[in-house]
This record gives sequence, structure tokens and C-alpha cells, in this order.
Amino acid sequence: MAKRILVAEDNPALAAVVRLHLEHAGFEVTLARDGREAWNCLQRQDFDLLVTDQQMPGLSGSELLRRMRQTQRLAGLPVLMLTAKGLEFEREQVRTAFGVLDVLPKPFSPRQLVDQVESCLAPGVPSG
Amino acid sequence: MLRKTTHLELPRRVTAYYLVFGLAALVWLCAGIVWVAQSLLGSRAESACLVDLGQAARQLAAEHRTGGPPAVQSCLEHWAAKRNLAWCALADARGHYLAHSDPQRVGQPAEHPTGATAEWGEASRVRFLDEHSRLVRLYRTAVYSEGRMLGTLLMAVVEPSVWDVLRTTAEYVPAAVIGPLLLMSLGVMALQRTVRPVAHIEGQLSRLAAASRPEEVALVPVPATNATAEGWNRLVEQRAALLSHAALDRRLSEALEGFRQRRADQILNSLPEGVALTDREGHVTFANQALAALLGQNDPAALLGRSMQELLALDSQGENPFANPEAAARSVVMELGRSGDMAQGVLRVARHPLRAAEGQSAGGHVWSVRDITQQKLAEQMRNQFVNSATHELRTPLANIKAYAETLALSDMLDIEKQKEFCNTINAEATRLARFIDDLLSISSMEVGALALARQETDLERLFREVLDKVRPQMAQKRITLHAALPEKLPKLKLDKDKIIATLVNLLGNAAKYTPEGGQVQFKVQVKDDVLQIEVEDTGIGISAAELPRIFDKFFRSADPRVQQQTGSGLGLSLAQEVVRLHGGRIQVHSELNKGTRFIVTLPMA
Repeated sequence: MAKRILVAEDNPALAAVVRLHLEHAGFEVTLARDGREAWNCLQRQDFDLLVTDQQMPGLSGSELLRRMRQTQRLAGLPVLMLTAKGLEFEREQVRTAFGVLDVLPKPFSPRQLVDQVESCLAPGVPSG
Repeated sequence: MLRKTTHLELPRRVTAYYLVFGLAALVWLCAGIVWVAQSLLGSRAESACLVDLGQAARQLAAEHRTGGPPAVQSCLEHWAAKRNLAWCALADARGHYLAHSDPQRVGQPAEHPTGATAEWGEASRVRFLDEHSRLVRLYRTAVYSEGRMLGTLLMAVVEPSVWDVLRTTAEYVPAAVIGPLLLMSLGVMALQRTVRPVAHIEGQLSRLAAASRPEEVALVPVPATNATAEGWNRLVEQRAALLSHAALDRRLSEALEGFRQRRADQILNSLPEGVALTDREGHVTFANQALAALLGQNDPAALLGRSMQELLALDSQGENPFANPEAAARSVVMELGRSGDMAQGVLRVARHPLRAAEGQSAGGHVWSVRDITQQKLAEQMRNQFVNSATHELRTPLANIKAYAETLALSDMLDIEKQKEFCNTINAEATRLARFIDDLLSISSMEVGALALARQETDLERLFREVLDKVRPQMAQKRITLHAALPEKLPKLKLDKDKIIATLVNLLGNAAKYTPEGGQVQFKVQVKDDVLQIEVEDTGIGISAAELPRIFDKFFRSADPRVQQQTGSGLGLSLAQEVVRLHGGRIQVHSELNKGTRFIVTLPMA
């Protein structure tokens, strides 16, 4: 059964291309236009991985993660975060602050994204 | 230790010494006179006695020849009375009195007293104390008659006592004493006259010696009766001159000091930076105008004596490095909120130890206080801008990269998709270029070099273009856009692109900051000679505190609802500049959580 991935990204063009690549790699992809929509999706459905932008209107990626970590069912969901934050130390801050599996700086290569999604979902990788 | 002295003491002392020694000399003189008189009287008496003794011996011999022993007896009695002798007698060879001025003692053995003796040939004398404790001189001599020795003549004379001598000399005493006393009195007067100026001088000198501030003791001239007084008077004159010079000098340096002090105060009060001096205990001893103004006081004097820690509300600012006693000797710099609240402004407070002239610490401090609120805001805005700019640059870049890479994997895409991807890349590149244009415009605006390219513009087409650009954004948030344009619009000479960018920016903001399902009004009116364009939304609004700053470059509201949105903080600033360059103005009215209305007026002439 295909792994289900929720992609939360407010930039529709980027979201579309991400979806294209992930579906091509054999994942089932749901898109959310912002944090709030992503939160609603997470309530309704189970996912294997969340790919989220850090900065989004309404509910930001960081805030979304904070909510998830307070919810038992979602606390263990692996998260890959996309960020426009420039510096390595800022990414490291995001990694440690939110306990995300990986942080991908923008701009990124879609190939790299697929690789990282696959490695996040590979068996033996501790979730959360 | 200093005795209390008066100017009379010296003459008294000198006169006392003079009188004591003078009187002592006088007494000595009198005693000498008495002694000399006694000696003279004594030797004269002795000579007389020896003469008497010879006469008596001869007379006795003659009496004995003529009258026999009875005649001798009466002659002796006669002599004793005549010569005022104690007694006189004639002793025979066997040592008995043949005759005696005291007839009862005739026949008795002759006396042989012992004492100081003197001899002159056959005559001799012995001095002794008789039974009445009188000093008696007993003269003896042999008496010869017709060639044979008749016996020994004894003649006792009582020596005059000291009292007798005194009585004798008393008649000379007035002459001996009154003369010297008179002379001494004259001496005293002369002495007084000589000593009086010296006494005056001594009195003044001892006051001078006793004074704690000798320069304040007035010295006065004395009557110029002698060289000492004249010398003194000259000294007094010279001192007065010196003192008046010194006083002049002091007044001059005081005046100069005051001048320097006023000058320093002027300089300190002219500084825009707050300056205060505090003493060892931390109390303000000087504060300049700027500091008073920074601390909300009208008069710097109101700060004197108070503590800077209290004035700056340092205790309410968490860690207070100024309270650390170890830090007293070094400079301490701290940024803190005005009245303890960062929101009211930021002050940069520096405290440096005050150095005395020798480089030692004087214990006090000099404080400098500067309002760095604007600087802080600029810093904050710069950081905000860097963050926004990074985001604004990375977002289109991320799309371009993702799309370009996907295009390269052409097996995933059909030809239609490929075309669409190319368009997306193009659009993102345009967006990037526009942002860079904005940045350049801002930097031109900074140097005042933003220029307009005016051209005859059909306003209706311009507004349609604007509305077309923002509709998709509105639609995405289900915002209703009401556009009200007049039926006929004139043509205007405008910089079309910049005006479009400005209106898109205002409408874009309205869309960004209006919740889903909200309303945005776009109303254009022609009033007299002006074109008025209103953009009104039912959005989150702008707080009264932030309203004056929204046109500042890089300013972005602290409202989290704004922070969640992307933005460079340049749009409104550019919009304002563009409108200003067109000779128009841009106004804003807003109420938090109700909505915002921007009014752009452009002149039509």
C-alpha cells in the first residue's frame, strides 16, 4: 500500500511540483494550502509523513508542529520541514526545537526532496 | 601653647625686672655703705683709743708722782667718764688692780680675757665679749714713772653695735637712696617710652601666632618713636600690599574659575546626550538639560541629590550591573527601557568612573544617557527586512529551481505541462525581478533619485489592469472586491507602471490583511482638480501606535497576524514616495480589528 504524505505549502506552484514528484515516486499525496488546512487533514486522516513549509499564512508550520506534539495521535508523525530560513544554524534550531526528522532549505531540488522523503519512511528510522 | 598676652605685659615685665634689679643694687649699696662706715668708724675709734691710751699713761705717771695712788684713782674715774669708756684700771706687777674706774674692784685680780689681739710696741689690744655680751676692746700698755714700771694701764672700750652704726649712717641714707630712686624712676619712664611700640608689636605678633588664619589678622602701625617702630610700620605696609595682591589674585582666580565652570556647564547643556555627575554615594551633583528632558523633567535642578539608579528605574530592569560594587571602578554600559519599559523607548546608559587630576579614582561617576529608540527601531527594521528579503527572494527561486529541474526530467511531463512549467518559471523570474526593482527603487529613493517616467495614460485602462492583477488574490480568500469607478475618466500624465504598482500594493495589502470572506472597496472619484482613489478593507486594521510608522522603510507591524504574512516592508514606503513624486499625497485611517482606509489624492493639472 502506498505511503500517504501530507504536503502543507502555501505556494501553489511549488506544491504542485512537489506533488508531481512524490506521486511519480509512488506516494499518495494530499495537498494543504496552509497550516489550518493541514491541521484539518491531520484530524480526518492518517498520514505516514508530513512535509510542511515553515512560514505559512494563518497557521505556520512551526505552530502546526507545536499543536501536533500536544496531540497524542500525531506526536509521533515524522515531519520533513521546508524552510526559507537561510542559515545552517537556523535550520539546526528548527530541527531541535520541533523534533523534526529533517529540514530542507529553499530552494531545494525536488529529487533531493523525494530522496529525503524515502529515507524518512525507510524502516528502522525512528519516527518523531 | 600660647599665653594670652596684652600689649601692656611687656612694659610691666621689663619695668618689674628693672625695678627688682635696681632695688637689689640699691640695697647692696646701702649694705656696703654701712659696712664701710662701720670699718671706718672702727679704725678711727681704734686710733683715738691708742692716742688716749698714750695720753692716759703719761697723765697717770704724772698724777702718781704728784698725788700718789688716790690721785691715780680719781684720774682713772675722770678718764672713764670723759672718754666714755666701759672702764679703765691700773694693774700692779703682781696682777692686782691698783686703781679702777669702778672703785669696788680695786685690789681684785686683774682680768686676762682672750680674743683677737693686736700689738703696737708696748701697747696691745684684745677684743672679747664681756659678761654683758658686749664686744669690748681692751687696750693695755705699761706705765712708767721715774724710770720704773708703775703697772699696766687697761682701758676697755665698748665697740659700737650695728644699730649704733646704722643710727650713725642713717643720716646719710636719704642722700644715698633718694638719688638712685629718682634716677630709677626716670629710667622706668625712659624704658616705658622705648618699650611701648615694641609692646604694641609684640601684642600683634602674638595674635598673629595664635590665629588659625594668619592672613586675616590685621596688623596696624605703631607710633614711630624709634627705629624698631619705623621698621615695623614699613613691614605692615608691605604686608598689606602683599595681602591686597593676594586678595586680588584670589578674586581673579575665583572669577576665572566661575567663568570656566559656566563654560563647562554651557558645553554640557548644549550636548544632545544626557550627562550627569554623581558623587561617591551615587547622588547626582550635576545634570544637564538633555538628561532632564530624557527623564521627563523640566529643570535639571530637580535631579540633584537623587540617585541615578532610582531615576532610571534600574531596579525594575532585571539584572542591574550598576549596583555591582566591583564594577564601580570600570565603565559600565547598558541598554534599558525608558522608565523601566522597553516599549517606551530605549536608553543607552554608560557610566564611567570619574578620574581626579592625578589619575586616582575620585569616587564619583560620570553618566551619559542617550535615547537610542530610533536606532533600535532602525536595527529592528533592518533585521525584519533581511528576513523578509530572504523569504521574498527564496520563494520564487525555490519555484524556479523545482520547475527547472522537473523540466529536465522530461519523461514525467507531456508537452502541454512542459509549456506550463516554462510559464511558471517565467512568472517567478518576473516576480524576482520585480522585487529586485523594488529594492533598487528603495535605494534610489534613499538617495532621492527615484525618477518618474510620465506618459499620457488612460485612467480607466489603468484601473482595469490594477483590478485584474489583484482579483485572483482576492478570489483565493473569497474576498468581495467592490470597484466604483466614475463613468468618465480623464487622461493623465503619470508614471503608469509606478502608479499601477502602488495601487496593486494597496489592494494587495487589503487582500493580505483581510480575513477570508471580507470586503474590499476600490473607489475612484474626481473632485475639483484632484483624483481621489480610496482602498478600504474590513481587515485586521493598524493600531494607533503603529499607524504613524507604516510608511517607514522596512517597517512591519509587530501584530502576529502581519508577521505570518510575507512582505518586505517596502511597499507602502514606495507607494508614498511615488504619490509624493506625482505631487499628491497618501492618507490612512484605520481601526484595529475593524479595517483600514487608504486615500490617495493625485492632482489632475
